Amino acid sequence: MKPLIGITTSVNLRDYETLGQSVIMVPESYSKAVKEAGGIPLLISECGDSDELLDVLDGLIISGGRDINPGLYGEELHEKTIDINEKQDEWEKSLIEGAIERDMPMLCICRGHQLLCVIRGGKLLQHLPTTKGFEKHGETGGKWSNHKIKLIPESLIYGLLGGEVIGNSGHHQGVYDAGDLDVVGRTSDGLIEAVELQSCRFLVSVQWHPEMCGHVEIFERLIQVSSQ
Amino acid sequence: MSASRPIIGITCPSRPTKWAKWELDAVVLPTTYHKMVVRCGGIPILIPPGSSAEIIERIDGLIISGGPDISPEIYGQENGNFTLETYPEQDISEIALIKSAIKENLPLLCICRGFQLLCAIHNGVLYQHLPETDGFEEHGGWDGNVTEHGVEIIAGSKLEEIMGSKIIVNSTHHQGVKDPGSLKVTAFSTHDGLIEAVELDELSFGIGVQWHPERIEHVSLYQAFINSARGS
Repeated sequence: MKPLIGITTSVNLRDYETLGQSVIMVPESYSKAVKEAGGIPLLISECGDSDELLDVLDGLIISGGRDINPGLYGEELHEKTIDINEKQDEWEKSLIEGAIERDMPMLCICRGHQLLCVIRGGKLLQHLPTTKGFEKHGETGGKWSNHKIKLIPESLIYGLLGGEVIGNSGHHQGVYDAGDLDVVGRTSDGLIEAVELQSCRFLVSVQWHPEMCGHVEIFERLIQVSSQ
Repeated sequence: MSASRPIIGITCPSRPTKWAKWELDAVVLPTTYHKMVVRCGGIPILIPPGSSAEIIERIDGLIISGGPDISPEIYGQENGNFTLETYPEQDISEIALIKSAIKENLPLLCICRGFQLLCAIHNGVLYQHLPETDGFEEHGGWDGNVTEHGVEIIAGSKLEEIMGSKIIVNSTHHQGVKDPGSLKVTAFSTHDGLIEAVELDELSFGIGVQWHPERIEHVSLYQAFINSARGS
């Protein structure tokens, strides 16, 4: 049987059927990538006890989205850290912790990457464009740019993508401390763009969007391990 | 499924959606469905468009959600003047899901567009634009506007057992069911007699409704559906 892969989503107000309607949404690129890699994608949103949901999933993707509450890493709100949702943070935290506990294959992307690092004792820079050394990291505010990420040879992701990968960049926050996670990829400015927890069968976390960059190998491996 | 709460799949479409300053194709669903399923003791999961029917054996219940007009081709007609946006990929995927759910006797709840699709694939036919159909011009709100009207439910039906014989429903649709095909009609609107609900007797739970029960506190309907999914 194909593995069931849960993909997290965001709740936002959008002009959809009516103006300012509360909707659950996530870019379609994630579910397409999972489907193309041979998995069954399901989208998930806060629904109480995450254990029951984890019981039926074979793999997990923590997707991109809004900024994380800086209180989770002991900081005050920066003026550019907006639209946080503490309930979403808490629920996704419980999913991540549950997945690690049961060694469930998990891929964390963008916000997911940042949240994983924070949960494991790491810290974020809240606004790269005004942080010394990172002003030119990449585009933000709705634009995308590309940058080179160097991956270390002793990592799962190096085995999938090689030593150097071009990843897209549209994020204004970034990871400078990954807690107890294994740092496996950085851009030239030193920002942590990829981490793994190598004691797990598959726990890969990236700052960029592999589903937008054609990095199918990551999804294929996720599906493969989730099928075991 | 080994979870104590039943896993309820809810279909959803893909639309260009705004994120800050950019627009991406996104899978979207109003939160009301999700909230109602959680409230009634289910675990909701959203089924993206293009999903195959293989998901059916992995879930305990299926909701076909509301959304855009279905392709009139399904019931042998051309697009009317007000049938402007259709999504054939979504139609095809949801038809496969419905058929598989029926085959597997998976509890099935079809809402608004879902109800119309359910009827159409059972040889039913739709009115493509109620505001220009004799007798239904004043049926109710559409294009984002919502009105309410009375509905009478037929005695002896499963729907009547769940909701009683007279209820108030919301109305925000410009198409309606003209002919339910082989399906049993269980409710009519009180002001103009439009078909508002059908059910499939051969299933443990197979109900389609024209309105949005999750937007008008029709907890009893969702609860009965979830209870049925719990047993499946």
